[in-house]
Amino acid sequence: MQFVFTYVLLIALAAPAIADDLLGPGQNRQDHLSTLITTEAVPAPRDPRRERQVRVPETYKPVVALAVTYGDGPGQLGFMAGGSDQRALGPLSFAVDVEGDSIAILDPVNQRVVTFNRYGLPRGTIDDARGTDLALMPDGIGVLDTATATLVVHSPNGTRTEVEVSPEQSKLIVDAATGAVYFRERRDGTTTLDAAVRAPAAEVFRVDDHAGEIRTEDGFTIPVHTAETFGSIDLVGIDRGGNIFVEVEQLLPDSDVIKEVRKYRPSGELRAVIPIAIDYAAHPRRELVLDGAGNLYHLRPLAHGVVVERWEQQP
Amino acid sequence: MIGKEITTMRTRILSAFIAVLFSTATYGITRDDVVANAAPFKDLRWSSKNSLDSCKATTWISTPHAANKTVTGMAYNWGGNNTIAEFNKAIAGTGYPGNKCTKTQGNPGLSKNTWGVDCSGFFGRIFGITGKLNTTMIRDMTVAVRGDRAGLRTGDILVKAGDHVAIYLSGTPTGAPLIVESSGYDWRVVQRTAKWSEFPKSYESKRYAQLQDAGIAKFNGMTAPTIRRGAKLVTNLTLRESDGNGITYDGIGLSIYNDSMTVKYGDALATQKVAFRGDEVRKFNFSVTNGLQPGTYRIIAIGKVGSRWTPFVPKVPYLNNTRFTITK
Repeated sequence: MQFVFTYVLLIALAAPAIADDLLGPGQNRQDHLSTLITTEAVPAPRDPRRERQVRVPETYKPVVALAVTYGDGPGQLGFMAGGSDQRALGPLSFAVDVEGDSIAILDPVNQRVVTFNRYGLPRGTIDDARGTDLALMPDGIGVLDTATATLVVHSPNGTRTEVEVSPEQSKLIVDAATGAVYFRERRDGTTTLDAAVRAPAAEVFRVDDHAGEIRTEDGFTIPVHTAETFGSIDLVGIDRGGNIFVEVEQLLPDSDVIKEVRKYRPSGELRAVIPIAIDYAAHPRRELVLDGAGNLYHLRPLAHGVVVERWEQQP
Repeated sequence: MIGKEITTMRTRILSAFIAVLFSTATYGITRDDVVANAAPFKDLRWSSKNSLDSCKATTWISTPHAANKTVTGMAYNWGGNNTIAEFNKAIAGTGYPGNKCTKTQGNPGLSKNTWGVDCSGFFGRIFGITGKLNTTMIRDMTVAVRGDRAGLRTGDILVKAGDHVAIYLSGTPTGAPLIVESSGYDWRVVQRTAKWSEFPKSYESKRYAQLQDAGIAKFNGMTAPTIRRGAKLVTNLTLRESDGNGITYDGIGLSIYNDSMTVKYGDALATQKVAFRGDEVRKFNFSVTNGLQPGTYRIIAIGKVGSRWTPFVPKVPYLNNTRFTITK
């Protein structure tokens, strides 16, 4: 058994068309949007511990990209309450196309994928989609099932193509700037590795209790310092301008966690700090996605419904 | 006559109790054991023709995985506590692999003929605990980890009573926790890189009380394997902390047991904090004029974390090395 790395390039404008094609009759109507009470972004609980942050030149503010209630109806997302020795479960992962025109959310409770347009209107549903991660691909929506080590690509015409992937692949890698989706395909027989998936253009590491670092493909190392105990660092993505977005979790003395996304220039200059609320009713696996323009999307499964916020840079 | 029988019975019950106590207290589980015991559950490959999605009265079964698909990792089964052999045998017959139809989904109790482990059942299996636990019991039977998240080491747990328990394996290069768990997120036993934000402060950093804190602990240089009653017992103790992460004990001590596994003597080798920094060996000298009755005894080394003493890796071969005899 050998592994070969393959990649599929997402044609940026193809995704909205795909999502439109997935619509059932009458599904793209305003009355099918299950809105929450508010259309404003749901503010993160104010945390005075964030006040220690350094001043940065850019400001980001959130707008609601979509808001839906829980349920199993059209355009709704499933939620399983926690308790009785059962962890709460809600939307697990989501994907946004490179232009921000289409959003797809993986709903493991209803075992389906629900797609929305850039205005938060539901576009369609893919039933019987089991998995833990997903991505928008040129030939459909790919759902990664780590239990069976398969990637199932659901095409607009309803066909399903199953690809065996490496059992070690825990999530799909998406290039925010181009929309390219990377996965490690598993094949029998002789294959070559020259089509290897390129590594993300930056890698991130924890250094010590108060620092991490970003190592770019150009050989630069960007330090990431924290006031509180450094928890972890994760690469969210790199936008078309080359800006690097990293997610940083800090551990507070009481073991609570604060999370933020930091935007760095390739030169290493810190440009923005975006506070990420983690007041989830059920913690998603993929909660942050970047589009090509550098808008940051945040999936928040809250107590009464799901909000996806889009953090946009302010002029 | 009756009084003698009662006395005999009491002796038997006491012996049995002591044996159980000893087996629990001294044949503990090491951190390596935790990893080794978890592996067959997370690596188990299985498929089943039995699949059902009927989370409602009379059935209350909803299998989390599709039929006839090869899945890696034993299925999550709410309330489940099965061994690998039980699981394999059941799903090869009429048994359903896993169940995600839980109380919060309306299921009033555990479903019949569903097989697998839930989070606490998985904990019980890899720590070798008989009987089905729940997360509240796990919370109560474990001790707090010194330093909380920063003090977590392989085999420690993150537990939220009434909700979930995950076993911590290590940190990753990015600082995120590597865990193994049976959870409704994956509907199976899985080892994965998690996020700290998945474990907010409502989760406690805990350590199974019988988990051995040292990688290796052994006596050497035992100078008097056979000594007379009243003579001086001289030995030294080498402790090796081998898992590379380091730990600080609040004390190091030893206990001497007789063959009935009754503690006959206990002493502190160190009453101050003793810090092991990574892979480190330390020696402690011990000398006492014994007042023990003739017989055979065992020495057990113990470490104190907080207010609790825990034996160090007293596996059977090691126990044999610590036996000594007191003669008249």
